[in-house]
Amino acid sequence: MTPIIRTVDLRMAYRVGSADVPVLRGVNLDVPGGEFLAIMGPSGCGKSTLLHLLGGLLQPLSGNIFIDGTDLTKLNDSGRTEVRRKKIGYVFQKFNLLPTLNVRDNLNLAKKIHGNGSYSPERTNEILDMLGLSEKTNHHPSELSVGEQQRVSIARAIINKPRILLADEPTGSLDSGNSRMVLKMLQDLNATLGQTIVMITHDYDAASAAARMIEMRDGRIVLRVEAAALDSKYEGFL
Amino acid sequence: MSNLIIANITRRPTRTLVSILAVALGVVLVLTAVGVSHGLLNDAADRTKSMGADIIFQPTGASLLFALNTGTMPLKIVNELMKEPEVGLASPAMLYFSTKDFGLVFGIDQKTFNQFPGRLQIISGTDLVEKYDAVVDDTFAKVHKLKVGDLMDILGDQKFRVSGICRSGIAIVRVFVKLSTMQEVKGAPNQISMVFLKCKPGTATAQLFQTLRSGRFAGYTITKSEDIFSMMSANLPGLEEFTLTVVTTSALVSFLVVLLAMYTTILERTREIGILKSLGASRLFIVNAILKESLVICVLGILVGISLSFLARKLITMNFPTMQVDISTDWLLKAGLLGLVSGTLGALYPACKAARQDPVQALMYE
Repeated sequence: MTPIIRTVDLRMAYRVGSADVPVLRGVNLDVPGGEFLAIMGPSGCGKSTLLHLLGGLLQPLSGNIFIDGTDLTKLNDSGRTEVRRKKIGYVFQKFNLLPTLNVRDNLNLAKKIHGNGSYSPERTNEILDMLGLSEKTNHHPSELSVGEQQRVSIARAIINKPRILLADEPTGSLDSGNSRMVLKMLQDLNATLGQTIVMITHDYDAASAAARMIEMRDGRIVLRVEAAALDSKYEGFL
Repeated sequence: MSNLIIANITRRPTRTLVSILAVALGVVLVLTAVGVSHGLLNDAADRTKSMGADIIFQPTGASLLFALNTGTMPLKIVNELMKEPEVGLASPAMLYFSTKDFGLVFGIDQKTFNQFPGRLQIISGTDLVEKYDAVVDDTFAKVHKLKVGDLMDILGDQKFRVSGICRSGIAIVRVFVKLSTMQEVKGAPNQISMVFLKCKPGTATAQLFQTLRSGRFAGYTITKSEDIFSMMSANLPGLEEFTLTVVTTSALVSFLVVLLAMYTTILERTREIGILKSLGASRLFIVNAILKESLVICVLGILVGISLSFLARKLITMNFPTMQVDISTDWLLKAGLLGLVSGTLGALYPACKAARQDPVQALMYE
């Protein structure tokens, strides 16, 4: 089966002063459609950079990134934006909701940007119901708990039915109870809707929610583990 | 998107208010300055026309801005003008620019002057009877707190007695004395500054105008009443430059304040712009959102500016009854357009800057 995400010898470097500091050193990754993948690794290993590259927010130094068959590296900014708009949803550690808008308007803005104005309000209501936010539609982010904010962030990410969900430390700002709830939601989205999810985390508990985990160090993938093997592999850490 | 724009505008009410007031200030500056200059000219033109003369006849090279005229012509020219078959009425007048209150004083031949439709309409007191009598209009009397019988200095050191108060709006000046008295005080016997002409019934103004221009009076300054405003505007030194300066200053004020306000807004909302980009917002979407925001500010500024301009007009005419502020429809449109264009241009650079932001850097912005 053709993977929905494929990277080929992906390399990336950041310029620090007059020197280029390599962040990714030839990453090859295949993510089949409908997979829930966790990417782990210590700070600075390049996992966030990899996620930004997959989302088309950055351009690599070399290599290729195929999203649903489209090579992002061959597209200009406008083309990458188009792919992101149509095929990718983002969930961030710090939620990144627009503070001036209430829950419904945050979701509607995502719909507006996507350009699916023909979607009926039922889709918004359906998502809000699914994530337990029906009572909070008129609340602003500052009036919500962190768990609720992350659920709104997930709702916004999936409102346009993207093929891929990119989650950047989605439980990083949550307590254990809310973390479990968010991970359960992601698992449900993956299981019931077949949503492809790529999640960055350095929490092994969180990673164990995924079907597969890869570990990165120094800009390279050093380990690929199936979910079933996660517990035994990291028994010592958990 | 409209919710996003409204939310952003209401998020920083002080900054929004300052931006609105900056656009409003530009509109007020334009409407008030142009309104005052046009008002003065219109008022002068209206009052000159209200006398009912069809043509104003002046010496060679004279200006319709009467205060600028020093040239005179012999009184006997009135008789020569009356010989023209199209002339029905001719009334000579002499002007004096009083440096005491910078007002114009008219020396009139009461007998012929009062044959014109816009003759002196005395409200209280009498016409000019004695040598040193003066008739003032009611606005002048109100401003200078004059009543019938009061003495006033208008021509040199000579005291004039207010013999009557007439209705305002007749002729360009507000103070009238006898022509013979003015000639004597100015030391110019049998000299006049202008002649008001009225056509004979059934004769078109254009016909008389043509006769005078092509005949033996060619070379004199001959003006149709209907052309007075446009000719005054064209002849007023610096009017165009003044208007241009006011318009440019106003545009700059609106442009710079909106630029600054939107620029700081963009800096403050760097992270939000990153969020929009992560959601797939195109550059055009971001530019559009920011320009729409500035458009709302501009429209509000224009509405506030127009309201304040009418308020300013009210205050000016209340405090300075001799002044007129004309806020015409075309200048309302021009001022509105100016506010809109300068405000939008002011927002354009910040909008483009926002659209070009690196989304990853923007998302990391605290």
